[in-house]
Amino acid sequence: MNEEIEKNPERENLLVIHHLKKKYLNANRYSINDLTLELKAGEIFGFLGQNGAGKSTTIKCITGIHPYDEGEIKICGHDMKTDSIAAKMNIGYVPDNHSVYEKLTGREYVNYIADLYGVPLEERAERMDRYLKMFKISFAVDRQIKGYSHGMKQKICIIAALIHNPRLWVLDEPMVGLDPQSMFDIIDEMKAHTAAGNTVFFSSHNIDLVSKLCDRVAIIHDGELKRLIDLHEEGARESLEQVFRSLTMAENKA
Amino acid sequence: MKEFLTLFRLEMKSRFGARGTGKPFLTVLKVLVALVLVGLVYAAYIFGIKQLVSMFYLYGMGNEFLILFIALSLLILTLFGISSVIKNLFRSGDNELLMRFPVSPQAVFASKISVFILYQIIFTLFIELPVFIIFGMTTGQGWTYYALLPVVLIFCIVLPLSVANLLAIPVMQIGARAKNMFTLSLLISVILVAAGFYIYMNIIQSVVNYMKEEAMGFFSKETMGIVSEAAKYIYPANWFAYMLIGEWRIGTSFLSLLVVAIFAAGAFFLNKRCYLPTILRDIEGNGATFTFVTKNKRRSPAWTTFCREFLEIFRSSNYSFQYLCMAVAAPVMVYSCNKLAATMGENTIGAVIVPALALMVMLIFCAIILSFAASSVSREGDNFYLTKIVPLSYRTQVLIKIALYMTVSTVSILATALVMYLSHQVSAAYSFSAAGIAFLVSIAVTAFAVRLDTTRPQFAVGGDGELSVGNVSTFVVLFVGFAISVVYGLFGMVGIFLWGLTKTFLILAGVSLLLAVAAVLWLMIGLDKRYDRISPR
Repeated sequence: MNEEIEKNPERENLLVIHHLKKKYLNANRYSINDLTLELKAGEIFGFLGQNGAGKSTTIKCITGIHPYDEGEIKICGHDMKTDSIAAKMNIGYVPDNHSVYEKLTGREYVNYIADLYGVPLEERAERMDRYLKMFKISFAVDRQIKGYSHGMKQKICIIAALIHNPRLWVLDEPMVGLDPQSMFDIIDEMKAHTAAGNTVFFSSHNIDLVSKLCDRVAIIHDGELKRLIDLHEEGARESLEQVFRSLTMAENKA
Repeated sequence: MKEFLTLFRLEMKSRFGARGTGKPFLTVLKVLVALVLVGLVYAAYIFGIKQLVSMFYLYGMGNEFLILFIALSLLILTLFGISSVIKNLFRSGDNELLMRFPVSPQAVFASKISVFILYQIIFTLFIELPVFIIFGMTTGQGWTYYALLPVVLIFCIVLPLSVANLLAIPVMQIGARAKNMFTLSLLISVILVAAGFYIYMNIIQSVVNYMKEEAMGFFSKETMGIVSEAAKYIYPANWFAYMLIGEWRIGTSFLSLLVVAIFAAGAFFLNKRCYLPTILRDIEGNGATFTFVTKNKRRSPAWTTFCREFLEIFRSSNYSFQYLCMAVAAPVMVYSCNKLAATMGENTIGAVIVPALALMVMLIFCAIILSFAASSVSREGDNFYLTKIVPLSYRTQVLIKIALYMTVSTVSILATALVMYLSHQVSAAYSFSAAGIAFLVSIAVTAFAVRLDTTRPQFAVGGDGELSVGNVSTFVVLFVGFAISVVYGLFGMVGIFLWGLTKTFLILAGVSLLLAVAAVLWLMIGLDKRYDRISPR
């Protein structure tokens, strides 16, 4: 993945955000203020920020959950406002609250999502089987999701998000509540996904994980992009924590 | 005691905490409107009770009225109590949270039951007390009546509360056993609702027939005799009443006290012993789910959404009862109502109005069934985000929901028409013409209901992911649906005499078509934008 980017820096942009502005109803300030980002194919992109910085709001705008006031979001060249169905076809989203239709069984839910994205039967069977084994929840796939543990719900969300092999995989704090082995499995899958020419965009509070895993990282504070860091630059991974602290703490003191 | 007070305050805050709109003027306006409406309804209630008491007293059945009233109050409070005890004591959303804190189960129980008792006191003071006072004044009771009134009121609070507590645990256990038997639960619900309704309507029918045949009113010598005889055996309501009016006062006072004490002690010891284990078992059993082995299969986006929407309803006991059970039981309920309405209508106007009455009853049940559509978006709850991220237009998703509601209601309407025809209530032509009109009105009501919910959905869901508060849109749809039914019914009855039945039905069909088109346009215009604006934080 990293080598691919280094070899071919002119790769296509899978996610383009230009001058995005979002203000919630009755709010007196913008939750996202003039955010501009471009994510290339084949990269893992980390999104860092404190609680309330605007990470989840940005992700919700990207995935179409929240309407936005100004700016532009394009997924694989499709505008989220004018061509939203085509844009959504290219996204796989894992929410932070793992909400799913709990009255369905795991298999029913994944099939439902696969149907919506028009995944052929053989492909979905192969992928479902692979991910179920990877996340070790084959034993529960025909059980009602309502009885799943927190981690199992997270895993079924991830499987549903990947069932159509999206070009852009968006995860909102994906490691929360997962056992170490499942975290390693997700990291491996992120790497495999980007190696196949796709992009991963994820928010996290785990600076250590982001510094080890990502190609680039954006630090957001009070809805504004504070710094865009290429972690392939010398010393960038080692200094990430320091940079994050200086950017967010300085703002807090001010 | 400190523990109890803290928990009680917490409980009160969670129920009645600040719920203002943030705009003081609107909040005050809402409160004022609510007060005026409640005041009007309450004034009508007091007036009605006064008339009823005077009427019973006039016919020498004052005591029987008191017994029947106490019995009815006890029954309502007990039935309300069972569901409240289960919901607020054993299945309260914060039980799991509270169990983690160093508070005793007794304090939790006491704080929750206190709120429930508070509800009962309010009900007793506002609904029961005025009736007792009106009765006392109308029948000229002495000071002992008023002196013993607080005691009877306390009995009226404690007894239903105790019985509800005793019955709650067995009811919960039966419910837990039937939890994942969806088809069986639905079938039993349908049978119970249809049978209950059929029996209820038949009782009313027999009363009507009896009065008709005997050419007498409710206060005939025979009817009064039956009621007086029955009242003697309605225990313990008759003891409470005798205690007040002074019939064998010492004996009935002792018996009343004894029965209340026995039930209260039973409830106390049962809860002391079983409250904590029941809560823990329920929390533990909450995750108990079913296994349903299926094969991977591919469906179209529209069909898969249709199936998912249906399963979400079918696999929820609440939704299944509110919607599917009512839809399946509707033909029986409409048949029973028609039978009664036809008898009463024929007596007063003539058999010619029966088709119009049948249409009105059919529309009333359509409104009840379709009011469910008013929570079509709200019911998504925490999963609403999924409807925004999937590559299926909002318009399509909404239309699929409407297709499901229309499928269920159309089947219900056709079955109802068939029952009306086969039971010779209405001719085939008019049965199915009424079904056609009901179908068009159903489209209008469904579109109207979904429109309301896409404008202002309420995603207040409980721990089970189901709606935890009454949706305002549902009440609005019910009200509008009932209003349309009554207007159609009245117009039909008048129209039959003015233009004949065929022409009347044609006019109603035309109006229904216009209503359907208008409601669909109101829903569809700007739907995508409206849906896009819905964004729970």
